Amino acid sequence: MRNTVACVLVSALAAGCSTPAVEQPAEPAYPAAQSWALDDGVVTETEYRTAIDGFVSCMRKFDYDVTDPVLSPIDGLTLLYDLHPTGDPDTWNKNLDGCDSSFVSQIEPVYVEARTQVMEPSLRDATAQCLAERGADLGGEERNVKNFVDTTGNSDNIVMRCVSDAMKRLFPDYPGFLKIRW
Amino acid sequence: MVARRTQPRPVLRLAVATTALFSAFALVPVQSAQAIGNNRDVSRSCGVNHVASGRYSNTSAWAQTTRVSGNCSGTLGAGLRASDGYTWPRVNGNRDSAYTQRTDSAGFGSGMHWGCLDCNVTYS
Repeated sequence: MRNTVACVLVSALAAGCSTPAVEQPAEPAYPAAQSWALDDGVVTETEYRTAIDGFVSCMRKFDYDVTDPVLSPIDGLTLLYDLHPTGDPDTWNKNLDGCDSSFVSQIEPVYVEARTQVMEPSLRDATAQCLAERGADLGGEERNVKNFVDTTGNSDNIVMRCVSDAMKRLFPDYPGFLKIRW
Repeated sequence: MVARRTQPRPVLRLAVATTALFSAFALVPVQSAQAIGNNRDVSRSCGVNHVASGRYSNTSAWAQTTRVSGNCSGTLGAGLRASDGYTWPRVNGNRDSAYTQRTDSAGFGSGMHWGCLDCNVTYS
């Protein structure tokens, strides 16, 4: 009995005196509204598309103008759309946040992160040319934004600038609202 | 009998100094949203992120959040707020980066940056 009590006391003391883990805020659980796609830890292409469609429908229910989503040539994964804010800005912001957190805010990054980004070839070549003209020493194997950033260091945001310029020139009808991760 | 005047005890001096220090901070105004281009490193307990924003033209603005150092595991976020108050959707990236850009005629305002999904926003 005394040994048992001693063991319990020692364990309690050990737990109380253990070195705390490095302080980092734990990522919050995702919104319940997105759990249907995130619960199993995998977001399929269909689930991502459904989430984006849900966001677009949500915004259109408020009579906001949102263009039909199109596949981003920048990564071959993200769906892009344009939004045209109207009405009271605070109301717009509240509705936007509501639709985003209800449908897609955490589904999209999980979907994209699980896959390999591949830039559309003409965009890739135009980006590479733009970077070379600015003195970047490329390896010729770059296939996505991360490759370009790793090769050039992206000083002065040069990679994003070249991607942006190439997008406007080659895909002028595509949405101007871009979402990029690398 | 005249009471002898004594020096405040050290702990009292510390309390007074601490109170004065906090009062001074309380008088410092909360940093308001900065115009686009207030690019800088932002430190957190787990590491350092770089927040940046800018414009490519009169109709194109961008905002970017990138990890500089440390072992922060949070998902970085980037967003844009126009000068008329409208915001664009927050782009949640990964632990290394998040970038967003808009092309429209709205006036430029601020870049918006998050170090994790539940972090407060920082403006650039």
